[in-house]
Amino acid sequence: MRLIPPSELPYGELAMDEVYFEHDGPRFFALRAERTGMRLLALCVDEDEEAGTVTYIYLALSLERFQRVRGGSLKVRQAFELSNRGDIWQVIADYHAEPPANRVSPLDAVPSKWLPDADARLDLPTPTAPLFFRTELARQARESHRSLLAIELDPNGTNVTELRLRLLSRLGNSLQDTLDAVAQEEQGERTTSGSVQSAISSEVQVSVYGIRAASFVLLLAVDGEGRLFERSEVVEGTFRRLIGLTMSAAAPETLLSVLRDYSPRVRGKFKQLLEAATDARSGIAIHTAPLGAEAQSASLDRSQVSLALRTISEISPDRSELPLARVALTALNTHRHTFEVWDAVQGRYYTGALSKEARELVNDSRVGSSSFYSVMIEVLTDFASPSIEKYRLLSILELEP
Amino acid sequence: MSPRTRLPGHCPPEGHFEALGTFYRFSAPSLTVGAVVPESHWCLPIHVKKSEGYQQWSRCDAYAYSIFDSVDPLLEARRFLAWAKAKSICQINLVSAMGRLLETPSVVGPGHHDWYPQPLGLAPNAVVIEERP
Repeated sequence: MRLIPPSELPYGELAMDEVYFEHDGPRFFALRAERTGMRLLALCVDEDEEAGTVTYIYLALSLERFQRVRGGSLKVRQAFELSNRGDIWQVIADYHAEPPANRVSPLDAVPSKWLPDADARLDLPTPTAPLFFRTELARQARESHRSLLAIELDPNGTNVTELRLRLLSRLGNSLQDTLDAVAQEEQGERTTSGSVQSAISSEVQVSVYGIRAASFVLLLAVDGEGRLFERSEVVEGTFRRLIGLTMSAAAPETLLSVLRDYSPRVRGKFKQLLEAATDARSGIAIHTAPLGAEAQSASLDRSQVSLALRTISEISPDRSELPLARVALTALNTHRHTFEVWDAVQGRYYTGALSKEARELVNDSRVGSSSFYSVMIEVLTDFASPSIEKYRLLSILELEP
Repeated sequence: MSPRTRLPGHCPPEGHFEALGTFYRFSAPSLTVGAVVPESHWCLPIHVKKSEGYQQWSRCDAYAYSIFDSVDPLLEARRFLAWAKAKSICQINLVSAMGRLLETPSVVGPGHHDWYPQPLGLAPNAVVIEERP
């Protein structure tokens, strides 16, 4: 469309929102102001055969009033009658001019013959929450001077703005955990166990400030608690990494390659985020609007989430060897090929399976605290669950008393 | 109409089907009930200077007429639009080999179709059933 939306109106960039009636082109429609979120209702009122022009009237509306008009609780004519000075515009479109151009002028009063019938009203179902637009997120970030993030699900593929509370809790926890873990990577202070340092996690704590439709969209803002300004470089880097992770999950090989560069903590938290989406039987989309930086989005459909999860789950565990110089053999089951040793230095037990070689070696071993052994244990660390370690006894050698 | 005007290769879009049946459309204000819509009134948007699709050569819908499978949306549109109040309404009968249809409904126009006439210069038999109010 060339002259719709009209660029001459003082509302910034406009985009077509909905077309209510068309007849050889749109005659009754709504536009969306990308910068402010407000709406403009446009009605075709006249045409001039000789001049070859078409006249529209445009009414600027707040989002709230537009939704009332759209839902029918406010009649269209009433919306015009309740408008303020400067809200109504006459737009004469000349499609055959060189170049095609609009003539735009404010209208203080609309000729009565141009207004809709008194009882004419739309009757569109209003979503339980306002619709989500990515451009809205970027605009709100600028206006609020905060970095924003949105996570979008389509639970059960029903396009309904509802999510079970338990799933919402799980989703929220896993997203925040992922942000904390990725922020740790961004700061270059990776740890594999224990909580993420509070000085790091506090930079990327987010709070819910809204919900949007269709499907289920949670709007989040980076907390400014206790700080005048957020550390935008940390937030921007964390958001960028999160988008990168999500994008990479669309292809198994790329996902593995990307995840290998991250700590087991990040792998585990990202896996938990995908699991939350899977439990909701949904794909997942992440939209970020870091303050002062480019807004980004990444999305995975339901099948991609499932495949990514399966890919992560099927990765062989990381292997390392752990020599223990002096342990007591506290349990041995030669039928099930399992063992338990006590390391007094570390003050902990190691329990696991016997390797094939170890099964031969343990035959003459004595269980109890009177004999001590030097052992080599293989540690198997789950790729995406660093807290889960499995042990295998590789070798055992009795120490001289 | 330029004899060189041809439907672009990608038009009509996917989902089109044979144009058959009785449809309705706005027509010139001066026409009265029973009047046959003159052949000269049939001009595709791509050639109509006051059309939003004027000379939009690569746009499919610029080569189509808006028609409705019921007169109700047109009557409803008159309640909202002064432009529509200034029009008469005609009934069109489409028989075989008159082109293709694409369903393109909207809120106030649920039975809206884009009719791609074949040949492009085709003027169907259309009779006015409702005068301008």
